[in-house]
Amino acid sequence: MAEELLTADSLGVGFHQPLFAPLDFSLLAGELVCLVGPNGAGKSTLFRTLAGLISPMSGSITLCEKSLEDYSARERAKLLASVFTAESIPSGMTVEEFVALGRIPFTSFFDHRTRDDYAAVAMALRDADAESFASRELCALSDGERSRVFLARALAGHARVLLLDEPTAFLDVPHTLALFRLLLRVVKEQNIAVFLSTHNIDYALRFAHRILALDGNGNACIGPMNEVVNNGFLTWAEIGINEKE
Amino acid sequence: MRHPALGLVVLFILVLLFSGGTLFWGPTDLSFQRVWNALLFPGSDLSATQILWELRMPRVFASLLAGASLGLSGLVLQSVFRNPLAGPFVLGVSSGASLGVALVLLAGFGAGSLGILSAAAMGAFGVVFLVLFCSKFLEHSVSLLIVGLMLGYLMDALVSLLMYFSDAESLRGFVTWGMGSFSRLTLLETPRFAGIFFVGLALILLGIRYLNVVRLGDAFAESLGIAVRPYRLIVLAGASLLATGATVYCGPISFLGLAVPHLAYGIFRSSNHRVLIPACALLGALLALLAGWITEIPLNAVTSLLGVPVVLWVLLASRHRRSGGVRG
Repeated sequence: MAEELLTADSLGVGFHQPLFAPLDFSLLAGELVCLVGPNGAGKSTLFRTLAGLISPMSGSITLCEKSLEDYSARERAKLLASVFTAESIPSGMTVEEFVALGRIPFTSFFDHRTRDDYAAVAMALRDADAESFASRELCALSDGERSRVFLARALAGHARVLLLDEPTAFLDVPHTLALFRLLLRVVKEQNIAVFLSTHNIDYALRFAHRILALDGNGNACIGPMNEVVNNGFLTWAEIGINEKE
Repeated sequence: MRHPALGLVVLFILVLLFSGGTLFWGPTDLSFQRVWNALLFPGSDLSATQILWELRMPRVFASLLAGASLGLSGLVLQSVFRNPLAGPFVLGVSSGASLGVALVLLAGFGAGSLGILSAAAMGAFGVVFLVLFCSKFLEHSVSLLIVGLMLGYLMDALVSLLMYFSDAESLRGFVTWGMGSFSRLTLLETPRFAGIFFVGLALILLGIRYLNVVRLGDAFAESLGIAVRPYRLIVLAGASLLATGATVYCGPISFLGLAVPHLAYGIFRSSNHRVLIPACALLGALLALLAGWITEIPLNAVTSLLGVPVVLWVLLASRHRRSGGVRG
């Protein structure tokens, strides 16, 4: 049995009322889990709750065998890295500087960077296939390159859990395939858990070890592809239906 | 820039050279020998001693401290508000100081017992405290920017009311104050100005990690384990303190605070505040020393006349090399 990195215990998320029924699930080391669901089902709210930015409405979250509430913000950031949707892209910043921001949880008071920090940044750039444009400016990159840079920033902090909110949003087919392959490789090599939300359900079914599906009516289901599909949690996606005739 | 440390050393040497230049050259023609003697043996040459220690020395300190203060203050506000147009006065510092001075000079508040310095300080600090107090209740930094701008407009409206109802002579005194000058500081007041500067600088240095991540948004900073609100309060307090110090001792000097950070981005091509903070302090001091050399026309005219071409040149030059010269 693989190590449980992040565990949700009858977790309810939302602002005034819970967005879906309480969730029980674990993210295991070496596993890629995809979160799918229609718009407004609560994917981003779930991410923000898991990242510790919003308190859960009910239940609890355990990160590496300790309750998420018991972490200081900085200790939490060392174990869990997030990339949110529609992050602002600062101009005038190089890829390397941007990825180095992922080391902030480790830097001392005046943001002094050590040799270890630079080594971690270089390794993250290599792991995310972003080495070749490390000295270019962030705003001059294509969407495909940028998605790898965001991944590199999350990898630079050596976190055990990565939360990626819609990393494939602006990507074409080849870049989406490449990103998923990259994520599968990283998950195995570094024995970490990646939890990502996506609207590319076909790729989620193809690459994810398990899927957490929200049906938009307050129900949720987690399991391998067959289980989620057989339990009817992807009917809203209407996969395989032909409407031409 | 590949070696930012080297660039900072060059800037530091330039600041030293220009400070020396301001001591040795001035509107009154004094020989090098006489200035040198007055510097080493004050009192042996009375008129030279007086010019050096009462006019030129305070002016050097005023330029150094005010320039560095405004540069740093502009940098912090542009970073926190993620807005390249923000400057040291967006939180209402200069408007508050203006109102304080206007109340004394135009409305006769305090009847001579209240000096211009304390009036400006009370006005500026009053507005800053009000804005920072509001920041406790505001989630988004941009709302804070709007609160600062609104309060500024309110103060300016009160000032123009006071101006409308006052006589020509006191009006002239007030307008002259508003043009800014590095010649108002006395050697006696210098330690206090320096004290304000170093407290403000220390507050900003406390927030370096926050300043480095804040451009990616508050949520991102939180996810990296940085408590946004306390740090925002600390660096804004530091920046406001710096802007207030400069405004109290030298008047509301426009443009420097807005322009210096852009020069620093253009020259150092970095977004790390470990580089930008010393760069903005040195560049601000350098520009202020340069502007201080032209004593015949009002300072606020000099800073803009001198600064605009320099900033435009840096922007256009960097745009030519790489796309996207402006930080946003």
